[in-house]
Amino acid sequence: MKTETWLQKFSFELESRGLDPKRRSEVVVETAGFIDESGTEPLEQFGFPSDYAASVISALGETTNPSPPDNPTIMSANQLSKSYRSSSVLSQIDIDLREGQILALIGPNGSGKTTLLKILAGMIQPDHGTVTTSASIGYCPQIGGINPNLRPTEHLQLFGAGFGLDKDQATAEGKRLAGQLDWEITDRMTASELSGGTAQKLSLILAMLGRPDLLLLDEPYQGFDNKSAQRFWELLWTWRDNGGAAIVSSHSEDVLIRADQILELEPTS
Amino acid sequence: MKTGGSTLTAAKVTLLALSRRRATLAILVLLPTAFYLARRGTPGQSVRSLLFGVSWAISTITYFATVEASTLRPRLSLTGWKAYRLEAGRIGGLVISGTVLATAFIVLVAADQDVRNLSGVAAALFAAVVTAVAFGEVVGRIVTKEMEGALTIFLFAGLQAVLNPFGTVAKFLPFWSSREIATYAVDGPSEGSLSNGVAHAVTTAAFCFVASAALRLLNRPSRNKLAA
Amino acid sequence: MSISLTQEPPKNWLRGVLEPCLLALLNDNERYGYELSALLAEAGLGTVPGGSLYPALLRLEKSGLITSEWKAGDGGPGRKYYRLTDQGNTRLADNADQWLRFSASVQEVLEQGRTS
Repeated sequence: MKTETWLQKFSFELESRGLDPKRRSEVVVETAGFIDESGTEPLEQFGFPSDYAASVISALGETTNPSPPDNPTIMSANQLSKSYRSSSVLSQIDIDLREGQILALIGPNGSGKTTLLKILAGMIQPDHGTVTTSASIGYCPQIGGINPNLRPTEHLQLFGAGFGLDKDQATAEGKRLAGQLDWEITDRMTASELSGGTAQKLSLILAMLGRPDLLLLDEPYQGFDNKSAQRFWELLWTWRDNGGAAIVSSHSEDVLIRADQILELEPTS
Repeated sequence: MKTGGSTLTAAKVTLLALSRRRATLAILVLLPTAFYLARRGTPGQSVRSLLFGVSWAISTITYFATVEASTLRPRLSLTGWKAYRLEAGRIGGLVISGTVLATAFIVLVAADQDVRNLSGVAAALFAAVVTAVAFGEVVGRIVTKEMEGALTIFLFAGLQAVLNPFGTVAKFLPFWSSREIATYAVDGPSEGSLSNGVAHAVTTAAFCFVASAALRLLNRPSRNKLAA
Repeated sequence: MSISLTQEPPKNWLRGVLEPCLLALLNDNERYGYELSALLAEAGLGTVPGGSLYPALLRLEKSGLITSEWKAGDGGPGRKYYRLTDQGNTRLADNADQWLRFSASVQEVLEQGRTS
């Protein structure tokens, strides 16, 4: 790994653990100086960026949750349960999500992550329990959610129209978000002709387009390459720092250290 | 621009998406044409056959457009889109494309057949378009699996074709109206009734659209809102 | 099993004494990270990777035993220098006494083992 890449990754890892920018840059500069002077490989001296970031954070005694728990609640769920044909999918789920928080939703296949997100989005009704929120919501489903026969800017125009954005505003905002995910929108292809990862980026951008208060993202960076996945988190951290909240379901382990709260679902029967 | 989307945008997007389905569009034109040519020898049969093809093709295309839209609908609702504007725009877009197709077939019939009342044929084609869109829409609302939906439409269209059109059961099928109007237009008022046909078309369309809207409202989950 | 032929002592030995050694090296002078690493190697304690050194320094700083200060370098971004606090001084004296007793005991046990 190149020193530059290592340092960049290290910095992201520190950020993901909620280290404030000033401390972060101090630690990174000091580390860079050491690597420079010792003339050795960062991997040899410090190990993997994520591991080293974890030991730095632990040495600093910083909490990994930077958002104060007394932020106002943006969404709460109380004792949610859902069954399909008498087999239970979700059982007594509670959520208390605050402004500026990212909640990671983890669990094996069939543990009800998608069902829970759909309930929270108000798309399906729970059998028991209540969801309480007044937040505006952007939802990115795991599959579908885009029209295979429409081009990217046509999607932007359609989704933007819901928020009252005109075509130019929606396109400009969409291109800005796409740029942050390392994608330059061109309009030569319809959604069905985009690669899997790019179609996923489009779907994600559509969820973020009107800057809703809360993002509900179902496996949002599945199919992203490493760089894009990193960009996704950067985008989400900025989102959170601006007071936005998000619930992200994922199979990737990295979600554990990058989120502020974890909710682990287990297959129920 | 106002929030909640506009019917015009929804219609435009429907037409755009439809225009990208080249193969589908080709079948949309081919199916009624083939049905027409199969009975080209007699004006009455050829027009009735054409109408049957138009009804079948357009209801199937509407069905697929409805199912396709249903994957976007929940997301768009969250952005503030008014559901009725989305629906109205999609229905409008489909009726417009159906009408374009119908116009082409009127020209074909006018050039190829000696019919008694060409405006009657136009009315029958328009009735076929509207009832087919309405029927495809409501099937799309009830049957979400594509294969099953296509077969459901095939079932109704097939029944319409094999049942005696003068029997009671045929009158409860969605595509009866255009046949009745066409019979009136080609064979004269003694054989078919314009007012019966129009009444049937209006009833069918109203029933389907109301049922579709009701199903949409019924399936809408309710959520507790935070106190401000 | 391979036997290390290098002069370096096993890594895990250093882990326990790294913090007292850092305190000792900072006793007379303020120093920066790489300098400390080089001094430890020079003293025969082996190579201390940055990944062990800096967390140890951060822990010491958080406990108030050392403080740090950024000083401008020659054109570069500068270096962070560490210095012992009074509290660190006290801890160093305590640690030194403890270690001398401990190492005497270890030595005794090892010598017995070797001669028997």
